[in-house]
Amino acid sequence: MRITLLFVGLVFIPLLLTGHPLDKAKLSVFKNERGILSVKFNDAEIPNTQIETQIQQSKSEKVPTFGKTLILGVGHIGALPEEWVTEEGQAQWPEGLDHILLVVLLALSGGGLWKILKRVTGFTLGHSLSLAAATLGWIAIPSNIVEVFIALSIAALAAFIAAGKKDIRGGFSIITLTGFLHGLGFANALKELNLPNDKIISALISFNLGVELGQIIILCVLIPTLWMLTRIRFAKAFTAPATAAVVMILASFWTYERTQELEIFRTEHWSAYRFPIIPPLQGEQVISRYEAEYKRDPANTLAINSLAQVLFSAYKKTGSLKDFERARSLNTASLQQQKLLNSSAKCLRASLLEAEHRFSEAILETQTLIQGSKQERECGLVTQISAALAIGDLNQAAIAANTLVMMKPYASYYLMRANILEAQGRQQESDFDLEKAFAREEAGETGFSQKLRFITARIYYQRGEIDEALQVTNSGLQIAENENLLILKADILNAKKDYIGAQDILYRAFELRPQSGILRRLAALNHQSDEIYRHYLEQAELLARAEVETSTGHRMELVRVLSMKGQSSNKLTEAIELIKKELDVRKSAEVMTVFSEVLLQKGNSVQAFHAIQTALQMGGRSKEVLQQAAKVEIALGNKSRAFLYVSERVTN
Amino acid sequence: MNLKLIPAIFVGCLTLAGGLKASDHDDGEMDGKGRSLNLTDLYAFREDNQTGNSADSENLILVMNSNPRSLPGQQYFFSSNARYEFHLSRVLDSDKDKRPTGQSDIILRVTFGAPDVNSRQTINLAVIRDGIEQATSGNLQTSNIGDSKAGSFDAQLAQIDGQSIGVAAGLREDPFFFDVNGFFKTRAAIAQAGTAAGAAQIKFASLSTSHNASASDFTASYNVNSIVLRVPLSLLKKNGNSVFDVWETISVKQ
Repeated sequence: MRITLLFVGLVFIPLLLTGHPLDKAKLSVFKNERGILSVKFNDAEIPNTQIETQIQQSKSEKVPTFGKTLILGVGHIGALPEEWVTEEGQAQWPEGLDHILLVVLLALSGGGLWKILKRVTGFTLGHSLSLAAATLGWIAIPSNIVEVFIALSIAALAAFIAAGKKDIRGGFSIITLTGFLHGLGFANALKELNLPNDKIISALISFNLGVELGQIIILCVLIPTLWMLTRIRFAKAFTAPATAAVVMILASFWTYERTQELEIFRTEHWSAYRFPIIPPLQGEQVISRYEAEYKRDPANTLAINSLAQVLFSAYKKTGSLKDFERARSLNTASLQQQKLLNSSAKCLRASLLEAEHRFSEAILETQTLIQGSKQERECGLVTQISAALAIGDLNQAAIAANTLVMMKPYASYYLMRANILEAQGRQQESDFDLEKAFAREEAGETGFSQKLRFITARIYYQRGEIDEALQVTNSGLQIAENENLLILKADILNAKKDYIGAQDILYRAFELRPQSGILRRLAALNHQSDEIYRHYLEQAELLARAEVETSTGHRMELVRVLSMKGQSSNKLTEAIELIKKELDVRKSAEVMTVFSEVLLQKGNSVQAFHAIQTALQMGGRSKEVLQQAAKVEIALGNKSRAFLYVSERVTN
Repeated sequence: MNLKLIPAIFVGCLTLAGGLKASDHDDGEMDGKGRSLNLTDLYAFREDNQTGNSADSENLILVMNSNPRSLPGQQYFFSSNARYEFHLSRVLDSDKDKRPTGQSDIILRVTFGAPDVNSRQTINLAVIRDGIEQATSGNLQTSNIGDSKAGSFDAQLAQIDGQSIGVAAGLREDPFFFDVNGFFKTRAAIAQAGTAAGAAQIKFASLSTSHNASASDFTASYNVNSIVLRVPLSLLKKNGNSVFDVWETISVKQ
């Protein structure tokens, strides 16, 4: 009985470890009575079921036939010869080896043919039940957890047999429960096929039959072998315990190995945060501290500069224009009060100009700074990088970043250089710098550590290395919740076709800080339902327009929303007007690429060609630039040139 | 032990600081740089100067502060990627007024491990004398923000050559007092005046003693990360010298 309970535990612990049900929170943006944009949650306007329907629809691409799922079932447990050889023709252990060993254990469990048959039937019953339940969506357990428990169940069964407990009481129920676990593993294999609803039942039956067929094949090889072994006097007594012991060791190793793959045990990964997480003081606490110092002595330039700096940092975090304006007026006051030897204020002035998108003025300012004191030179170079990137001068940005890294080998400067090298398509050098930045992380600087993970994950995402990107994003989110990381995670999950997961995360990001970019992504996720798509897009446009009015000049988000709404050409015309305004101040490869996209959408291929060529001339070699270059060439009918851009992307 | 030790050290610091316009106490708030790598003030004195106990006269106290203007209530750490070093030149009594050599006869190198769950870091202290490095033994840790009072030196001792170096490291209130704003204003006024003759016309009111009442302490209620060592002079002395030039560095790998 106790043994049975243990196995019951083995089955139900993974059930307890599964995630929470999907959050059904809804959101909407509306103008309240004071005319201010607000956000509303749990508004029942949009039923979630439509999204699920959409996912089902997208799954109906390739539907395998009855025969194919049957063979898949046989192959899944390693009972096909092709599972034992690699594509190059070399021998290998099949992926279903764990299942083969389980069948071996069943055969070794003794008690005569009748009892063996009974156990195999119990096992089949168990896995048929769980396979059906999991495939039909009644239970959902992450595959990595299931795999751990499968290995553990084999190890446990092997231990009983090795210990000579051949005839276990309650054996039938134990085997049935083990089968139940293994069925969950089969279900994961079946899920990878993304079967449409109407094909699930037949696939379920054929796959299950395949597994049975596979088991029979294994037993056909196994039983004569075992029978022969029992004929040898010496081997008779040792066959069962010795084989079971080997299986037990192997399965224990698998259990350990699979446990290591669980997220909670993956702390040793290079992107994992290796310091204790100390929450930094809240923005308001810091501001009020400097505010008090400033009030004590309003003539103290150091106090003014510190207050201005923390207000600017708050603006960067929350986008609060009020904080920005205050930082600017304090900065002006500081510079008037003390014209010389006021490096901090001069540095901040350059950053403020850059944040206001007054790039040419910012660059002029940095040129003076670079001639100044050591501190001025350092901050001048930092601002020069952002400003140079904004006007599309990647080479200048790279030179400034090199100088900074040579001056001070700080993690933040390595990260800046990595980002520029990536934009230039120099991936190996970029990787090298990222590695250096991670090695130089400092304890307690959690803000930077999150930024490091955000930029690294974004780089991997843009390269199409989705799993790495997800890992780095998760490691960043472990430090603290952050809306930029959440949005990036949603993009990554979207690329992994986990649309519901992506949507959930976007809701959370929107709760943290409502942004048009989130609504635009929600619209894209719901593109198959016209009504929801338009609903989100309307709200995104509303919010994007508000963002243009209440920010220091971020127009590109509105451009993106308008381009999504591009069916009506007046939206596209407005988008083009906005980009032209943006190009007056920021002529970066990124803006030129969006410009090219919108022009192409409007059917103006020649102008789109010129725009993307400008981006390429700026040295832009990111995925977006090359992809757009290829699209333009296809539109112009130059397929071979398009191929060149695609292959450059691949080589990068 | 020569009582002129402190002025000698002071001269050493200022001369070696070279191009610096003033004490490099604070580089101001900046986004991009590692706080824990930012040096601030250095203090060096004989222990008896503070305790008044003549038995302490054979100990030299060295204090290196970093991470200036750190906010109270927030835990800050030492870098686990950097070397925090006190450099000392031995100076013969007869040479004490000569130009410092800038030669690191002795380096006291402090490195830190990554913080543990209690926000404490292990401290490693190595002594490098005339190019020969010796690690010290002893279980040394930084204090964390939860420690209400800094522990005494006797609590943490690093053993070397049968002698003990007292070690304490962690957050402390910045002891530096300076009306930096007044100083910079005066400096700026001098610079604006342009010439030495013009400078002479500047009234140094803000620096005069009568102005003390309005002088503000710009480090008041800010913390710094302190490394404090109590080193027996016998570990440092050679050939009967009793004067040392002292300076500090924080270095990271390129």
